[in-house]
Amino acid sequence: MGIDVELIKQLMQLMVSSNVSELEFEGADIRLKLRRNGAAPAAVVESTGAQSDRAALADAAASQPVDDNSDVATADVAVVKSPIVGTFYRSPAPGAEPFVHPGDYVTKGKTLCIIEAMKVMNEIESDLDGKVVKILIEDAQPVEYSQPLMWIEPAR
Amino acid sequence: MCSQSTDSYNGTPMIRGPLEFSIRSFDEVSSTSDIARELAKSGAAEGTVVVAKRQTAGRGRFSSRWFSPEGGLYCTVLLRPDIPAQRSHLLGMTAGLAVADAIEPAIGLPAQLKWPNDIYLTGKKVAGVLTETEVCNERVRLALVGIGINVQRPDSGVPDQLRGRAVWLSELVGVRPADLLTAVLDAFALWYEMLRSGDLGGMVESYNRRGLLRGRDVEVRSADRVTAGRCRGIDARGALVIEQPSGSIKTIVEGKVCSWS
Repeated sequence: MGIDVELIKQLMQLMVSSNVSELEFEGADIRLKLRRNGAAPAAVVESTGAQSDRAALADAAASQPVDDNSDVATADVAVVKSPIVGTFYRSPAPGAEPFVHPGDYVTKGKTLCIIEAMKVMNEIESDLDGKVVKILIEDAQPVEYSQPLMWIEPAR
Repeated sequence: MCSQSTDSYNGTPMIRGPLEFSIRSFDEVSSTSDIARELAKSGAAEGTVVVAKRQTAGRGRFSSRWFSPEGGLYCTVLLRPDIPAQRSHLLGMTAGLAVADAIEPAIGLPAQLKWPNDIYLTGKKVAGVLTETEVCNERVRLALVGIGINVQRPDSGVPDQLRGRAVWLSELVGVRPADLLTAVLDAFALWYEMLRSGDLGGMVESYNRRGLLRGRDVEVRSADRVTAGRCRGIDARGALVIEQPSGSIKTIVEGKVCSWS
Protein backbone atom coordinates (compact mmCIF):
# COMPACT_ATOMS: atom_id res chain seq x y z
CA MET A 1 0.00 0.00 0.00
CA GLY A 2 1.15 3.58 -0.44
CA ILE A 3 2.00 5.85 2.44
CA ASP A 4 0.08 9.07 2.87
CA VAL A 5 2.62 11.51 4.23
CA GLU A 6 -0.05 13.95 5.34
CA LEU A 7 -1.79 11.16 7.24
CA ILE A 8 1.46 10.33 9.06
CA LYS A 9 1.95 13.94 10.02
CA GLN A 10 -1.61 14.16 11.26
CA LEU A 11 -1.14 10.98 13.30
CA MET A 12 1.99 12.43 14.87
CA GLN A 13 0.23 15.65 15.77
CA LEU A 14 -2.73 13.69 17.11
CA MET A 15 -0.44 11.64 19.34
CA VAL A 16 0.99 14.82 20.86
CA SER A 17 -2.38 16.52 21.35
CA SER A 18 -4.04 13.40 22.79
CA ASN A 19 -1.01 12.32 24.82
CA VAL A 20 -0.83 8.90 23.14
CA SER A 21 2.65 7.47 23.60
CA GLU A 22 2.71 4.63 21.08
CA LEU A 23 0.82 3.70 17.94
CA GLU A 24 1.36 0.70 15.68
CA PHE A 25 -0.09 0.07 12.25
CA GLU A 26 0.41 -3.06 10.15
CA GLY A 27 -0.61 -3.35 6.50
CA ALA A 28 0.02 -5.94 3.80
CA ASP A 29 3.59 -4.88 3.10
CA ILE A 30 4.48 -2.36 5.74
CA ARG A 31 4.50 -2.02 9.48
CA LEU A 32 4.51 1.43 10.98
CA LYS A 33 5.33 2.21 14.58
CA LEU A 34 5.04 5.66 16.10
CA ARG A 35 6.30 6.22 19.59
CA ARG A 36 6.78 9.37 21.58
CA ASN A 37 8.87 9.80 24.67
CA GLY A 38 8.87 13.54 25.00
CA ALA A 39 7.60 16.40 22.95
CA ALA A 40 7.62 14.80 19.52
CA PRO A 41 6.90 11.34 18.14
CA ALA A 42 9.41 9.35 16.08
CA ALA A 43 8.61 6.98 13.25
CA VAL A 44 10.28 3.77 12.16
CA VAL A 45 9.57 1.28 9.38
CA GLU A 46 10.07 -2.27 10.58
CA SER A 47 9.29 -4.22 7.44
CA THR A 48 10.23 -4.18 3.79
CA GLY A 49 7.77 -1.75 2.39
CA ALA A 50 8.23 -0.38 -1.09
CA GLN A 51 11.18 2.00 -1.43
CA SER A 52 8.85 4.89 -2.21
CA ASP A 53 6.92 4.18 1.00
CA ARG A 54 10.08 4.31 3.06
CA ALA A 55 11.20 7.49 1.35
CA ALA A 56 7.81 9.06 1.99
CA LEU A 57 7.94 8.00 5.63
CA ALA A 58 11.45 9.40 5.95
CA ASP A 59 10.18 12.70 4.59
CA ALA A 60 7.37 12.69 7.13
CA ALA A 61 9.70 11.89 10.02
CA ALA A 62 12.27 14.42 8.84
CA SER A 63 9.73 17.17 9.27
CA GLN A 64 9.60 16.35 12.99
CA PRO A 65 12.32 17.37 15.44
CA VAL A 66 14.66 14.60 16.66
CA ASP A 67 13.74 13.51 20.15
CA ASP A 68 16.93 12.81 22.12
CA ASN A 69 15.00 10.90 24.76
CA SER A 70 13.46 8.44 22.34
CA ASP A 71 14.87 4.94 21.99
CA VAL A 72 13.45 4.47 18.51
CA ALA A 73 15.50 5.60 15.52
CA THR A 74 13.83 8.03 13.20
CA ALA A 75 13.80 7.13 9.54
CA ASP A 76 16.37 9.78 8.71
CA VAL A 77 19.19 8.63 10.98
CA ALA A 78 21.80 6.00 10.21
CA VAL A 79 22.15 3.37 12.92
CA VAL A 80 25.76 2.43 13.67
CA LYS A 81 25.77 -1.24 14.64
CA SER A 82 28.43 -3.31 16.34
CA PRO A 83 30.33 -5.42 13.80
CA ILE A 84 31.41 -7.88 16.50
CA VAL A 85 30.64 -9.24 19.95
CA GLY A 86 32.72 -7.44 22.55
CA THR A 87 32.93 -4.60 25.03
CA PHE A 88 32.01 -1.06 23.99
CA TYR A 89 34.32 1.80 24.94
CA ARG A 90 33.76 5.45 24.21
CA SER A 91 37.37 6.47 24.89
CA PRO A 92 40.81 5.24 23.82
CA ALA A 93 41.81 4.79 27.47
CA PRO A 94 40.17 4.99 30.89
CA GLY A 95 39.57 8.63 31.80
CA ALA A 96 40.44 9.89 28.32
CA GLU A 97 38.18 12.15 26.30
CA PRO A 98 35.48 10.17 24.42
CA PHE A 99 35.94 9.80 20.68
CA VAL A 100 32.60 11.53 20.04
CA HIS A 101 29.80 13.28 21.92
CA PRO A 102 26.16 13.71 20.90
CA GLY A 103 25.98 16.77 18.69
CA ASP A 104 29.46 16.25 17.20
CA TYR A 105 29.82 16.35 13.45
CA VAL A 106 31.85 13.42 12.12
CA THR A 107 33.33 12.65 8.75
CA LYS A 108 33.79 9.30 7.09
CA GLY A 109 36.70 7.48 8.72
CA LYS A 110 36.38 9.24 12.07
CA THR A 111 36.73 6.83 15.02
CA LEU A 112 33.43 6.55 16.87
CA CYS A 113 34.26 4.01 19.58
CA ILE A 114 36.26 0.91 20.42
CA ILE A 115 34.88 -2.60 20.62
CA GLU A 116 37.29 -4.88 22.44
CA ALA A 117 37.24 -8.59 21.79
CA MET A 118 39.93 -10.97 22.97
CA LYS A 119 42.48 -8.25 23.62
CA VAL A 120 42.03 -6.78 20.18
CA MET A 121 41.01 -3.13 20.32
CA ASN A 122 38.81 -2.51 17.29
CA GLU A 123 38.34 1.15 16.46
CA ILE A 124 34.99 1.48 14.72
CA GLU A 125 35.02 4.18 12.07
CA SER A 126 32.13 6.15 10.70
CA ASP A 127 31.20 5.20 7.17
CA LEU A 128 29.41 8.48 6.53
CA ASP A 129 29.53 12.21 7.19
CA GLY A 130 26.95 13.48 9.64
CA LYS A 131 25.99 14.49 13.15
CA VAL A 132 26.05 12.13 16.13
CA VAL A 133 22.50 12.27 17.44
CA LYS A 134 22.58 9.74 20.22
CA ILE A 135 24.91 7.21 21.85
CA LEU A 136 22.91 4.18 22.87
CA ILE A 137 25.40 2.20 24.97
CA GLU A 138 27.06 3.07 28.24
CA ASP A 139 30.83 2.95 28.41
CA ALA A 140 32.42 -0.46 29.14
CA GLN A 141 29.23 -2.42 28.47
CA PRO A 142 29.02 -5.68 26.51
CA VAL A 143 27.55 -5.53 23.02
CA GLU A 144 26.26 -8.21 20.70
CA TYR A 145 26.81 -8.54 16.98
CA SER A 146 24.67 -6.00 15.09
CA GLN A 147 23.54 -4.25 18.27
CA PRO A 148 22.83 -0.54 17.63
CA LEU A 149 25.57 1.65 19.13
CA MET A 150 24.69 5.16 18.07
CA TRP A 151 22.68 7.24 15.64
CA ILE A 152 24.15 9.53 13.05
CA GLU A 153 22.09 12.02 11.11
CA PRO A 154 23.60 12.00 7.61
CA ALA A 155 24.90 15.29 6.25
CA ARG A 156 22.63 16.62 3.54
CA MET B 1 59.27 11.04 19.74
CA CYS B 2 61.69 8.56 18.33
CA SER B 3 65.16 8.19 16.95
CA GLN B 4 66.28 6.10 14.00
CA SER B 5 68.67 3.24 14.71
CA THR B 6 71.49 1.94 12.57
CA ASP B 7 71.68 -1.54 14.01
CA SER B 8 71.33 -4.92 12.32
CA TYR B 9 67.52 -4.82 11.97
CA ASN B 10 67.69 -2.35 9.10
CA GLY B 11 68.43 -3.62 5.63
CA THR B 12 66.83 -4.99 2.54
CA PRO B 13 63.24 -6.19 2.70
CA MET B 14 62.82 -9.71 4.07
CA ILE B 15 60.63 -12.05 2.06
CA ARG B 16 58.56 -14.34 4.28
CA GLY B 17 56.12 -16.33 2.21
CA PRO B 18 53.29 -14.19 0.88
CA LEU B 19 54.08 -11.29 3.22
CA GLU B 20 56.96 -9.01 2.38
CA PHE B 21 58.31 -7.51 5.57
CA SER B 22 60.01 -4.15 5.61
CA ILE B 23 61.79 -3.45 8.87
CA ARG B 24 61.91 0.03 10.38
CA SER B 25 64.27 -0.01 13.33
CA PHE B 26 64.56 2.53 16.14
CA ASP B 27 66.63 2.89 19.28
CA GLU B 28 63.84 4.32 21.40
CA VAL B 29 60.19 5.03 20.78
CA SER B 30 57.16 5.77 22.91
CA SER B 31 55.49 2.63 21.57
CA THR B 32 56.17 0.71 18.38
CA SER B 33 52.42 0.74 17.71
CA ASP B 34 52.36 4.54 17.91
CA ILE B 35 55.06 4.71 15.23
CA ALA B 36 53.34 2.08 13.12
CA ARG B 37 50.11 4.08 13.28
CA GLU B 38 51.92 7.19 12.07
CA LEU B 39 53.45 5.21 9.23
CA ALA B 40 50.05 3.78 8.33
CA LYS B 41 48.65 7.29 8.00
CA SER B 42 51.38 8.02 5.47
CA GLY B 43 50.42 4.95 3.48
CA ALA B 44 52.92 2.38 4.77
CA ALA B 45 52.42 -1.00 3.14
CA GLU B 46 51.26 -4.23 4.71
CA GLY B 47 54.26 -6.00 6.21
CA THR B 48 55.90 -2.87 7.57
CA VAL B 49 57.44 -3.83 10.91
CA VAL B 50 58.46 -1.27 13.52
CA VAL B 51 61.02 -2.59 15.96
CA ALA B 52 62.68 -0.74 18.84
CA LYS B 53 65.37 -1.43 21.39
CA ARG B 54 63.40 0.38 24.07
CA GLN B 55 59.90 1.74 24.57
CA THR B 56 59.22 4.58 26.95
CA ALA B 57 55.47 3.96 26.96
CA GLY B 58 55.02 0.37 25.83
CA ARG B 59 51.46 -0.58 26.53
CA GLY B 60 49.29 -3.52 27.31
CA ARG B 61 45.53 -3.57 27.43
CA PHE B 62 44.22 -0.01 27.78
CA SER B 63 46.43 1.95 30.18
CA SER B 64 48.52 -0.91 31.53
CA ARG B 65 52.21 -0.58 30.82
CA TRP B 66 54.55 -3.09 29.19
CA PHE B 67 57.96 -2.99 30.87
CA SER B 68 60.24 -2.31 27.91
CA PRO B 69 63.90 -1.87 28.89
CA GLU B 70 66.75 -2.42 26.45
CA GLY B 71 67.36 -6.09 25.74
CA GLY B 72 63.78 -7.05 24.90
CA LEU B 73 62.12 -7.48 21.54
CA TYR B 74 59.41 -4.89 20.93
CA CYS B 75 57.80 -4.75 17.53
CA THR B 76 54.56 -3.95 15.75
CA VAL B 77 53.51 -5.55 12.48
CA LEU B 78 51.39 -3.35 10.24
CA LEU B 79 48.75 -5.24 8.28
CA ARG B 80 45.98 -4.32 5.90
CA PRO B 81 44.11 -7.62 6.09
CA ASP B 82 40.66 -6.70 4.73
CA ILE B 83 39.09 -9.57 6.68
CA PRO B 84 35.64 -9.55 8.32
CA ALA B 85 35.68 -7.75 11.67
CA GLN B 86 34.33 -10.90 13.27
CA ARG B 87 37.72 -12.52 12.68
CA SER B 88 39.78 -9.61 14.03
CA HIS B 89 40.46 -11.29 17.36
CA LEU B 90 42.32 -14.05 15.55
CA LEU B 91 45.05 -11.58 14.57
CA GLY B 92 46.22 -11.55 18.18
CA MET B 93 46.08 -15.33 18.38
CA THR B 94 48.13 -15.52 15.20
CA ALA B 95 50.85 -13.48 16.87
CA GLY B 96 50.69 -15.61 20.01
CA LEU B 97 51.18 -18.77 17.97
CA ALA B 98 54.04 -17.18 16.04
CA VAL B 99 55.89 -16.22 19.22
CA ALA B 100 55.41 -19.73 20.61
CA ASP B 101 56.71 -21.22 17.35
CA ALA B 102 59.73 -18.93 17.46
CA ILE B 103 60.85 -19.44 21.03
CA GLU B 104 60.26 -23.18 21.45
CA PRO B 105 63.17 -24.32 19.23
CA ALA B 106 65.46 -21.72 20.80
CA ILE B 107 64.60 -22.68 24.36
CA GLY B 108 63.91 -26.38 23.96
CA LEU B 109 60.86 -26.10 26.19
CA PRO B 110 57.16 -25.99 25.31
CA ALA B 111 55.59 -22.55 25.26
CA GLN B 112 52.03 -22.19 26.49
CA LEU B 113 49.30 -19.79 25.46
CA LYS B 114 47.05 -18.17 28.01
CA TRP B 115 43.79 -17.05 26.45
CA PRO B 116 43.58 -15.01 24.49
CA ASN B 117 47.21 -14.43 23.50
CA ASP B 118 49.73 -14.23 26.35
CA ILE B 119 52.76 -16.49 25.99
CA TYR B 120 54.08 -18.39 28.99
CA LEU B 121 57.26 -20.36 29.69
CA THR B 122 57.78 -22.41 32.85
CA GLY B 123 54.49 -21.05 34.19
CA LYS B 124 55.52 -17.40 33.86
CA LYS B 125 54.70 -14.78 31.27
CA VAL B 126 57.42 -14.28 28.68
CA ALA B 127 55.59 -12.31 25.99
CA GLY B 128 52.39 -10.42 25.30
CA VAL B 129 50.45 -9.26 22.28
CA LEU B 130 48.22 -6.22 21.91
CA THR B 131 46.39 -5.67 18.64
CA GLU B 132 44.70 -2.48 17.50
CA THR B 133 42.56 -2.37 14.40
CA GLU B 134 40.57 0.09 12.35
CA VAL B 135 37.21 -1.25 11.21
CA CYS B 136 35.07 0.31 8.52
CA ASN B 137 31.98 -1.26 6.96
CA GLU B 138 32.53 -4.36 9.11
CA ARG B 139 35.97 -5.07 7.62
CA VAL B 140 39.41 -4.72 9.17
CA ARG B 141 41.18 -2.14 7.02
CA LEU B 142 44.25 -1.77 9.23
CA ALA B 143 45.72 -3.87 12.02
CA LEU B 144 48.68 -3.07 14.24
CA VAL B 145 49.86 -6.23 15.95
CA GLY B 146 52.13 -5.27 18.83
CA ILE B 147 54.42 -7.91 20.31
CA GLY B 148 56.64 -7.62 23.39
CA ILE B 149 59.02 -10.41 24.36
CA ASN B 150 61.15 -10.51 27.51
CA VAL B 151 64.58 -11.49 26.18
CA GLN B 152 67.45 -10.12 28.30
CA ARG B 153 66.64 -9.73 31.96
CA PRO B 154 67.74 -6.17 32.77
CA ASP B 155 70.68 -5.76 35.16
CA SER B 156 68.91 -2.78 36.67
CA GLY B 157 66.18 -5.03 38.05
CA VAL B 158 62.50 -5.46 37.32
CA PRO B 159 59.36 -3.89 38.79
CA ASP B 160 58.01 -5.56 41.93
CA GLN B 161 54.76 -6.53 40.27
CA LEU B 162 56.63 -8.66 37.71
CA ARG B 163 58.75 -10.60 40.21
CA GLY B 164 57.79 -14.25 40.21
CA ARG B 165 55.26 -13.69 37.42
CA ALA B 166 57.47 -12.91 34.44
CA VAL B 167 60.37 -14.77 32.90
CA TRP B 168 63.15 -13.63 30.54
CA LEU B 169 64.58 -15.89 27.86
CA SER B 170 68.11 -15.10 29.09
CA GLU B 171 67.29 -16.97 32.29
CA LEU B 172 67.04 -20.11 30.17
CA VAL B 173 69.24 -19.58 27.13
CA GLY B 174 71.01 -16.82 25.22
CA VAL B 175 68.98 -15.43 22.30
CA ARG B 176 69.61 -12.33 20.18
CA PRO B 177 66.51 -10.18 19.73
CA ALA B 178 67.30 -9.76 16.03
CA ASP B 179 67.37 -13.55 15.49
CA LEU B 180 64.16 -13.89 17.46
CA LEU B 181 62.46 -11.27 15.30
CA THR B 182 63.31 -13.22 12.16
CA ALA B 183 61.85 -16.41 13.64
CA VAL B 184 58.70 -14.65 14.83
CA LEU B 185 58.05 -13.08 11.43
CA ASP B 186 58.68 -16.37 9.63
CA ALA B 187 56.04 -18.07 11.75
CA PHE B 188 53.67 -15.11 11.69
CA ALA B 189 53.57 -15.07 7.89
CA LEU B 190 52.40 -18.68 7.80
CA TRP B 191 49.66 -18.29 10.41
CA TYR B 192 48.52 -15.02 8.89
CA GLU B 193 48.08 -16.66 5.52
CA MET B 194 45.92 -19.34 7.14
CA LEU B 195 43.86 -16.69 8.87
CA ARG B 196 43.28 -14.81 5.65
CA SER B 197 42.30 -17.97 3.83
CA GLY B 198 39.74 -18.78 6.52
CA ASP B 199 41.39 -22.14 7.21
CA LEU B 200 41.30 -21.95 11.00
CA GLY B 201 41.40 -25.64 11.93
CA GLY B 202 45.19 -25.84 12.23
CA MET B 203 45.30 -22.64 14.23
CA VAL B 204 42.76 -23.85 16.76
CA GLU B 205 44.44 -27.24 17.05
CA SER B 206 47.89 -25.72 17.61
CA TYR B 207 46.46 -23.27 20.12
CA ASN B 208 44.67 -25.94 22.12
CA ARG B 209 47.78 -28.12 22.16
CA ARG B 210 49.55 -25.24 23.91
CA GLY B 211 46.61 -24.04 25.98
CA LEU B 212 47.80 -23.08 29.47
CA LEU B 213 44.26 -23.06 30.84
CA ARG B 214 42.98 -26.27 29.29
CA GLY B 215 41.78 -28.67 31.98
CA ARG B 216 42.19 -26.05 34.73
CA ASP B 217 39.60 -24.35 36.88
CA VAL B 218 39.35 -20.75 35.76
CA GLU B 219 37.48 -17.58 36.58
CA VAL B 220 36.81 -15.13 33.75
CA ARG B 221 35.60 -11.61 34.38
CA SER B 222 33.56 -10.05 31.58
CA ALA B 223 32.00 -6.59 31.52
CA ASP B 224 28.81 -7.77 33.18
CA ARG B 225 29.55 -11.12 34.83
CA VAL B 226 32.09 -13.58 36.22
CA THR B 227 32.15 -17.10 34.82
CA ALA B 228 33.82 -19.95 36.70
CA GLY B 229 34.40 -23.55 35.71
CA ARG B 230 36.73 -26.02 34.04
CA CYS B 231 38.39 -24.74 30.86
CA ARG B 232 37.93 -27.00 27.84
CA GLY B 233 40.14 -25.02 25.47
CA ILE B 234 38.98 -22.79 22.64
CA ASP B 235 36.33 -23.48 20.05
CA ALA B 236 36.50 -23.06 16.27
CA ARG B 237 35.93 -19.30 16.61
CA GLY B 238 38.64 -18.82 19.23
CA ALA B 239 36.17 -18.40 22.09
CA LEU B 240 37.10 -19.82 25.50
CA VAL B 241 35.01 -22.87 26.38
CA ILE B 242 34.16 -23.32 30.06
CA GLU B 243 32.28 -26.21 31.60
CA GLN B 244 30.43 -24.83 34.59
CA PRO B 245 29.89 -26.87 37.79
CA SER B 246 26.30 -27.51 36.66
CA GLY B 247 27.65 -29.23 33.55
CA SER B 248 26.50 -26.50 31.20
CA ILE B 249 28.98 -25.24 28.61
CA LYS B 250 29.69 -21.54 28.33
CA THR B 251 31.70 -19.96 25.52
CA ILE B 252 33.32 -16.62 26.22
CA VAL B 253 34.31 -14.18 23.53
CA GLU B 254 35.21 -11.24 25.71
CA GLY B 255 36.66 -11.21 29.18
CA LYS B 256 39.78 -11.35 31.29
CA VAL B 257 40.97 -14.54 32.94
CA CYS B 258 41.45 -13.37 36.51
CA SER B 259 42.48 -16.65 38.10
CA TRP B 260 43.30 -20.25 37.27
CA SER B 261 44.43 -23.28 39.25
